[in-house]
Amino acid sequence: MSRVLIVEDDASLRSSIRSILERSSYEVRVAGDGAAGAREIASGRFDVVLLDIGLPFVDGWRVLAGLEGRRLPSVIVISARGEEEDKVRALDLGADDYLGEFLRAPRLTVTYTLHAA
Amino acid sequence: MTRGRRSLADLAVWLAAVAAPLVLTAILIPVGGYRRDYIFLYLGIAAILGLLRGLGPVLVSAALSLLVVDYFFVPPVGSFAIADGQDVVNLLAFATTASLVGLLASHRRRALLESEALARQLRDANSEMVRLNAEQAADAQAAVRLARSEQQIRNLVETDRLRRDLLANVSHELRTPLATILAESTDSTGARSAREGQRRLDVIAAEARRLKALVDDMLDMARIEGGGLALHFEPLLLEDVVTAAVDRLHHPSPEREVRWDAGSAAVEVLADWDALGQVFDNLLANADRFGPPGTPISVEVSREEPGLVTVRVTDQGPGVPPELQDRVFDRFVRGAQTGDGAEVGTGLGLPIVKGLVEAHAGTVVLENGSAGAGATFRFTLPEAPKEP
Repeated sequence: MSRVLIVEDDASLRSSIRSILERSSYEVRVAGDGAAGAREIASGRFDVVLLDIGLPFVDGWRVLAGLEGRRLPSVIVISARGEEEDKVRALDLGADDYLGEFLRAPRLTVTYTLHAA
Repeated sequence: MTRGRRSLADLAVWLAAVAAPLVLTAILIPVGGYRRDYIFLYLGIAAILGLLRGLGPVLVSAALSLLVVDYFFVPPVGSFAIADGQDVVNLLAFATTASLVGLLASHRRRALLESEALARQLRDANSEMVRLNAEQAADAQAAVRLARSEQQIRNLVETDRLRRDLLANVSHELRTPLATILAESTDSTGARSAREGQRRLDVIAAEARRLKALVDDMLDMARIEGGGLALHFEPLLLEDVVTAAVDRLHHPSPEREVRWDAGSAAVEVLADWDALGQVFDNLLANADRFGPPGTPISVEVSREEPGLVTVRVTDQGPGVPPELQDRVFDRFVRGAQTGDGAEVGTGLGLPIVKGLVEAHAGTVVLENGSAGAGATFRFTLPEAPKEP
């Protein structure tokens, strides 16, 4: 069973994505800010991380930078900012994908990323 | 002087050098006799020639004068022989003196020429300096203009950056609830039960309400900042305003206790009913969001400055953390949520409060908001003028 970590500060969005993924039999854990997210990644073994950028305390860029060089977990940046430069920056920092738009089918994206890894 | 004219003048001087002694002799012979004094006249010629042209003509005229005087005036007359030894000395003295005069004169002339050349150089250097100064001044002016437009460019770049940041923040705020709505409504795994389906609908409805609140607040913010607020000021009894606001709070949060003293709130303020109502709504909603369940919100009214009414809204929550204290009236700054149940704010509540209070010529501040001690927001309103 694949493990997914959702790092997202908006509670509603977090629980929506979580329930969608759990319905597809992923094991899901959540974190509400960058510091907690980094801690979870360090201590757990995740296959995929869905990482928001606008996080309190430690933002997503710093979490992403801290994962540099590691092959796992695969990181999908989810961000409602959607600026082109954000996408480039995320991919430059080693993200595996960038979901800027309305998070259509998070389940499919996670599945695809897992199989591609 | 042009080359042509100079050589003409030179020619004239050389001619004079030759002609003058001869002419002088021609004048003196009829006058008669040998006069040793005549020597001085020839010396005079030499001096003049020296001043005019320099050593060359002097020597020529001196030599010529010597010959002429020797032939025509020194005995024996009519020959170049010199009978008297004294005359030899005289002639030699003449030759020496003429040469010296010539030398001195030519030095003087050279010095004059040199100083003229120097003066010319100085003039040229001076006008060059004047030109350079003018250029420098022009450069300095251009540099100042450049610096000013660079500053303008920097200001524009900064304004542009702020605008783009705001746009990114706004779009982020709007898209997040939309993302939830889309995620819940388009997921194809299908609801497994009616309860699950109902849950989805509830989430979608809640997020849609959240979006609406956000859009409403953004429009308010735009009106406040764009100067498009149409406020209608009138004397209002503060007691009425507070009663209505507490009533409105009790719709979503019926158990929240609000402590306030109707007596001290029996003052009249000059305000717009809707705007003041919104100020109270936002502050009460914040206090309700962060105050733990069962703890009261307090509203205190006091008169601390002449002409102003002071209102304090206090909650028993965790207070504002130090790192957020000077940003608490900025857009989209939210505190850490206390528990999942609390509804997320739009992030614009306090900026709107600030904008509206300031539109009433009042001020709003966070008072003793140290972490753990609860938060107090204090704002002032103008007292309604008493009827004369």
